[in-house]
Amino acid sequence: MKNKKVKSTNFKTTLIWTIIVSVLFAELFVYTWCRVQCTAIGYEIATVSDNYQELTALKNRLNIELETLKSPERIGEIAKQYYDLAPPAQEQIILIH
Amino acid sequence: MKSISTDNTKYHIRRRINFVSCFFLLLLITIVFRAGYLQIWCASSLSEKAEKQYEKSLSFYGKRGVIYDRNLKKLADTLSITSIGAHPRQIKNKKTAAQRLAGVLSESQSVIYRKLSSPKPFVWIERKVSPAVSHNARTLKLNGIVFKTEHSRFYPNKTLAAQLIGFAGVDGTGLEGVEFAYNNVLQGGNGKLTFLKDGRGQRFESPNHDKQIKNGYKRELKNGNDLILTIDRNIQYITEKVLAETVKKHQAKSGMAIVMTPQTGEVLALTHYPAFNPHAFNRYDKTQWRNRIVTDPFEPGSTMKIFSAAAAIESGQCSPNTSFYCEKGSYRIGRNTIHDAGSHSFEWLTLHQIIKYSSNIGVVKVVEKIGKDVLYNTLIQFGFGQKTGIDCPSETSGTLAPASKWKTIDTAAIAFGQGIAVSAIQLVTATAAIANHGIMMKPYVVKAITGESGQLIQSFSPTIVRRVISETTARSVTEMMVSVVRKGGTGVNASTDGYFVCGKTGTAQKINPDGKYAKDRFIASFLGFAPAYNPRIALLISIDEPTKEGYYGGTVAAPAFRKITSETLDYLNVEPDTSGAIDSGLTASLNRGPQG
Repeated sequence: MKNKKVKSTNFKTTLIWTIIVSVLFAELFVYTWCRVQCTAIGYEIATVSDNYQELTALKNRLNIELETLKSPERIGEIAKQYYDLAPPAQEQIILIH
Repeated sequence: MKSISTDNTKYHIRRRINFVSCFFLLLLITIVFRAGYLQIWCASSLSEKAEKQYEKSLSFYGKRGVIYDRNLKKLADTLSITSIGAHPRQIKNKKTAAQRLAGVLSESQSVIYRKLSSPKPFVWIERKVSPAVSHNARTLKLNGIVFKTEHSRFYPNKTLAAQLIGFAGVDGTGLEGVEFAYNNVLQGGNGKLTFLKDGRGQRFESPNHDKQIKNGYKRELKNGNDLILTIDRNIQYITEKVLAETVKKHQAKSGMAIVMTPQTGEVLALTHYPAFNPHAFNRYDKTQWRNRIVTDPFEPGSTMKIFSAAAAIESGQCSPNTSFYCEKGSYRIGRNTIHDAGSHSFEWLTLHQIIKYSSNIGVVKVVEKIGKDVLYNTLIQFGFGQKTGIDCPSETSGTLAPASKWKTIDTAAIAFGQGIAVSAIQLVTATAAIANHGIMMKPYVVKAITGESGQLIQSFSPTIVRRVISETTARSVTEMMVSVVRKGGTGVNASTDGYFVCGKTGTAQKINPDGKYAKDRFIASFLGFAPAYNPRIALLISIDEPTKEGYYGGTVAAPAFRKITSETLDYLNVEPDTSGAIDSGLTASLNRGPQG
């Protein structure tokens, strides 16, 4: 009877310790997983941030390219050479009031 | 006996256990104390040490601000360009690295190898490479090769308004023009860029780290502010195109032209020919960089006569109909003889006609009547001999000696534009005052300063300098200037189809190094505004040393004035003048003829 009681107490103690250790290990794993995730996301953010910087620089370059393409000198040359255009003479202008 | 032995053994075992327990306890206590010491006492110094290992800082200049025209078209911008460098000590196999880099860069393998073999801790391999080259070099993933972002100034319109805008050097400091004058506004802050890196040097972001470091960067740098100019890119182009054509046609040395809004003093175009490419400014002579419209004084010649006429009318001693005897083309003052240009031998001319035919003797007679003090005071009122205050660097005041030092011949010469030196900006500002009913405005080229995100920081509004002449005098001078472009006037080639324009021709002799006037070197100019009775633009065009197809202002500069005026008014949607007066002599195609 006494042995049975001792066995039951030992089992309870073991169970409690097992639960405590399991919780601690679970916490350790969850914490580690979180840290790993955090670091991985940190790298992702850094990559996205780099991409953003590159795309901003590209946008700026394209804007400048657009300005170059729209320069009056280029437009004037195209109008003159490819479309044979010229500024209108005064008699060609009709005023609409 | 056995019991004694067992007890002894148990005792020894317990002692050993106690000893080991004590040892581990001491070890644990030591660790705890050490941990406490490191975590509490050395926390700040160790954190700093750790930060140094995973934080990396680079010195950066903030991006230089953008320069826009009045319609927010970009005239100058800054590109982020990658430069490739190397830490030679970190590269194990330099030969292979050089070979692989040579495959994507423009440098040869031997040059790259020599750079990689340098004893220096850091060397540049190639600076400011194209995005494609940078991408290809990155894909090689070579240890010790680094990519750094640098800024490079870019001018989308190349040579357009080059002398006005100027340029910035490799370090991003403005060296000429507006870039120089507004360097403090345009230049970004010099700061540090800090980011986190791991053991392999890769950048990463940590939420536990310094809160200032966001998205992996801690920005301590500020980009420069933007400038909005008064320049209109299209008017600038029209002016540059016509100026280039004129200089080429007359095989002149150079030319300059300026277009201004008379009512505000805003400069719409400021042009020089030949221009230079600001991307490669070192390839051009330094004299070409200068904004000569603002910095260089010159003798204006007959364009000055309108100011002498204004002085005469404003003084009340003359009216446009006051007559003067013009000595049949030759007038002696002391030992000097003054002639009228083009071998004219005028007799009696009214003040109005003196301006129309540009009689030197006539204007000398006018000035003799009003006196040198009146002329001097009027010229000072028009701003000659003083800086206009335009926001461009190195402005000249010109040269106008005090009236007390003028001899009789000086007074005569100054009346028709010799013995006085003015800048082009002074001339056009003074003419704009006539166009603006006698009120002089301060010329300016910067309309506003805006911040990085477009917010207005400072705006510049038109500034009245003073009333120079009365409205009545301004109207009378305008009428005289209108007559210049009418049939028989010296500037008939400036008359523009559909618009009343007005102006004055100028043909100034240049001075030889020996101090005498050259007989074969001239500055041909035309100064005027349009439309004459509701001015939208004031314009000066000046051609230096034309050698082919004439050298008179009326032959060389007046046609350029006509082209610029016609295209600019058309661009500005200015309604043509349609009243009957246009038939009396302004219809250009009917009246134009060869004139000096």
